[in-house]
Amino acid sequence: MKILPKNWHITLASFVIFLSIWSILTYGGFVELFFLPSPTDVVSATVTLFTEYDLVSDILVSVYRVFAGFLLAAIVGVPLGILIGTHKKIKAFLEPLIGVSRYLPIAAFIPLCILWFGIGDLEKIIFLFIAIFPFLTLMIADVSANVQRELIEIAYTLGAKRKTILTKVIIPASLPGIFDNLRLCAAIGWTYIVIAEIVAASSGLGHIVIQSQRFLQTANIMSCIVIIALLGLFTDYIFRISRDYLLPWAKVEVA
Amino acid sequence: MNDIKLEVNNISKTYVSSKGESFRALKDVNLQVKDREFVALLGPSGCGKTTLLKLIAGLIEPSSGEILLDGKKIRGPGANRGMVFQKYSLFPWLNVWENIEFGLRLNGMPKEKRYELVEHYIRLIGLMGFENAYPRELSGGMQQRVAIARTMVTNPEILLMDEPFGALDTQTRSLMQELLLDVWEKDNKTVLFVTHDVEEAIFLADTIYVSTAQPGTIKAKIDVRIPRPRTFETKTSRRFLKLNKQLREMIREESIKAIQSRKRSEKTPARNLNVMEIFRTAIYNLI
Repeated sequence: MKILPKNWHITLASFVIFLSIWSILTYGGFVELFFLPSPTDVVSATVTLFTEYDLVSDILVSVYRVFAGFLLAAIVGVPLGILIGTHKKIKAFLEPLIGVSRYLPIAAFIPLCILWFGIGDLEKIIFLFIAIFPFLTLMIADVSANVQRELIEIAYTLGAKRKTILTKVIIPASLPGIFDNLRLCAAIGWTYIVIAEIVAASSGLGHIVIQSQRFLQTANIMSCIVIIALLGLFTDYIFRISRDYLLPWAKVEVA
Repeated sequence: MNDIKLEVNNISKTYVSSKGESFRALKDVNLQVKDREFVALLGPSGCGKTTLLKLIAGLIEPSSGEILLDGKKIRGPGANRGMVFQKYSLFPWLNVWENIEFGLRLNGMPKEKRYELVEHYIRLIGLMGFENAYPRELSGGMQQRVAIARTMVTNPEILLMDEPFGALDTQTRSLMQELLLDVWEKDNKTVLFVTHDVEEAIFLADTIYVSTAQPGTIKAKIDVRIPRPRTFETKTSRRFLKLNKQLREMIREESIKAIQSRKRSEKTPARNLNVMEIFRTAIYNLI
């Protein structure tokens, strides 16, 4: 098995270039360290956050919220998406409504969520649900509506009835697409968690970001940004590994 | 009449697009397939061959006319009419064994019986050792062999084949034709085989229906009368060559017509443009 992806040195080069520009700007004294901290500042800030401020518990809180909000959206969105994708009447009833809700200003729901659900975990989880659910549902609807026609037709000629088509053809055929869209939506969850935690929170990575801004600790903010990015990357990786493991027949060819 | 299996009576099919334009795919098609007969439907591309097969399979409804199987009018799809598509029709999430087993499971056949049948067909198509392979791991020819076995194993009254070897290279194709005849001679199922390949039609069929292009109608019915079992040497026999020449000429005529009618339909947007032109001049005149 190959451990390094193809052209890894080109990938590495982009990171090296990025880091060098950052280093030149900061160590070279071209910008105020107060506005843009140097790489070493960010590293030492991270160490301090872990050792003195118990960053681990904040990370766990954020992970819990993202996971719960995402799971809720998946539990509701996946079956609903399949129904919309396969039933014309359900589609006519729900698709426009959910379609419109994708364009609502999600951040504006935070005050509402606070009014409805208070300022605890539930409010953040519901907010993430509102952010993820419409996108996920419509993407799943698209996947299940575009199952290859021949597969459905051949199943009919082999004796399948309408009901069995859903369970024996449409759902299994949609699984890779469902998986890929869940992966994308997990990423949405990680980008919205900060918004959820910036307002009325006493814990979580977003809370640390807003606290650090108040005390002008830019290095802390940068550190949290990097940590969230790494967590997102890790989630993505888990999804990719488990897709190959669970759906070996739909492995993505690495050319 | 002597045991007619399938009867297609005055079938017409017109498609209407969402813009309201109608397209006539089939017009007054009549054909008959006798019990245990191998019939080929030969025609240029775009003559509605696939449409006819889907009508017989019950996947779409005719605009007029009726289709009888054993004297009974067909309604909707059913396992008594098995279909094999040109390509991409294996279930990618099932391996070879499970693909062939699919129809049997649907019919609720007990496990031991299923096992026996699937094993028999895997041997028949020569894919022993590939039982656990997924479709993506198979070549095009192997995939089609599985598709044929998957349909035959459910023991349909008639086998509908829509250019099943159309996507294969020439060599694989002739081997597959021989394999199909081999399987067919053991099983003796009724087959309606659609193709645009003249040699394929002669080599396989007892009777060939030649179809015209746009709208598809039946132009001729030809009795092949080449004795069985047929081998690759059949393709150089005098009768084969004579039929080949005769049919090629017919198909050529139809292909030319098909291309011309396509050209004609391509001109339509140009006429729309003229309408726009008239509008524009009219508006300029008003100003």
